[in-house]
Amino acid sequence: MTPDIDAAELATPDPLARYLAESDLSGREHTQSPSQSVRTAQHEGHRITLTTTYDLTVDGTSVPARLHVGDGGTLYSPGLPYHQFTSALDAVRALMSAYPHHFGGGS
Amino acid sequence: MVPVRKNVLSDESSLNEFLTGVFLLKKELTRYTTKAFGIPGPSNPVSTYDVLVIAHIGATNLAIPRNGDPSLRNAAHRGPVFLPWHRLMLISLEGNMRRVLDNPEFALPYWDWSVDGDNSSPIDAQIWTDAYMGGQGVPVTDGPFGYYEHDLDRFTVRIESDVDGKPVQAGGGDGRGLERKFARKPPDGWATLPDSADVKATLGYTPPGINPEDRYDTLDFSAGSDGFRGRLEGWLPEGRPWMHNQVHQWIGGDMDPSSSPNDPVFYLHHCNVDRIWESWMQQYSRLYAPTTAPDPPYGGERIDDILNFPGSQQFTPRYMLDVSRRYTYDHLP
Repeated sequence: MTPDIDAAELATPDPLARYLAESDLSGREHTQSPSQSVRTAQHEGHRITLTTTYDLTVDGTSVPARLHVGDGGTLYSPGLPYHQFTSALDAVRALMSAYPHHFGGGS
Repeated sequence: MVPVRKNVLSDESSLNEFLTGVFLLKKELTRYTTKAFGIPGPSNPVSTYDVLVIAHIGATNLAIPRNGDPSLRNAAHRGPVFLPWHRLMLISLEGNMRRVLDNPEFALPYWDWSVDGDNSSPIDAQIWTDAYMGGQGVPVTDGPFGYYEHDLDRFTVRIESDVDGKPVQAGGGDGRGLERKFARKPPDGWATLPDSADVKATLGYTPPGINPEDRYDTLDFSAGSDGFRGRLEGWLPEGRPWMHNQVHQWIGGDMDPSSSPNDPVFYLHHCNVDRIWESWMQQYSRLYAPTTAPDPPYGGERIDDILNFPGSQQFTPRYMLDVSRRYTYDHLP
């Protein structure tokens, strides 16, 4: 059995809040769009570097939504962390459904 | 006596204390404001409940390795720490509830969604009725978390994550009602909940090799690496969402983004995920992987690495493997 957990601090709000506010754990740093996915691999003595960039516009307006490609070619987005997509267009459709206020009304 | 986590549908005391605890933690304001967390907009107080929402958003934005991509592996998801990190988060919420309820015996209840999955995933199941979590809506307008006009004590979402996964203030700083959109079809969501056969298949996964730790997770310890963790998190088998991810997608609304702890059902859901993990660990000697692996890229995922959860106390996955002195479950799958 592992040592017991002293949960006193875990159950006290201000230490949690203070640590979160003073650290980089609140996730506030912003990443610039457009985003890039860089995949690397070795094949027959060669080094492959594959850079993928998605530059997304909706109704002519650039959208700061990032899409990333994993090594297997599957797409992910920070806006939908429990999803994975095989189609970039499906990913954008799902983002638009999940964040309708962000994209405004369509025609 | 170790507190026992029980089924929310069969233990009225756990349900009522959970509901009371949610509202008490929503009302309890910390000394910190949105400005202190670097969240844009007017400076507003942040409740204890919402501190945990921010912690979840933050961990989802924290890449492992640190110079990597959080969409591919982060401090709470898409890797081996998914289960221990969320166990620690549940312990934190449960501890805060014990404090505000003044009840050291309180134990979080769980929602066994596989029962609803076996019953064709009805959108009017008992859990979604007035006396439990309320139903769907944009916003939800029934049950304890309904957004009722003229009710100053109504449940209000104040921190959310934006389309890029970053923390922002909901409603421009005024807050808004909770949102749920059940059973949407792909690509927006998923039309069914996991069933008992899915739970059985996840628990029974057997790796092809002979290394015992492979049963939990395997190189490259990512969303796509096979093992019990990846299957319970819901990335595998490839081609559709399963288990944990499937439940998030079925509920939709506020359960879609990284601010998903905004919906109190998040905790009932993760308590059930934790229960399945506990069942697996009792069957397989509390295995964890990786025990050793190079840093980078796997520092933060190994059994003795520090979990990125706010607080000066440092917890590792090893600490989370056996918490039987803190709580147990009434029934394991």
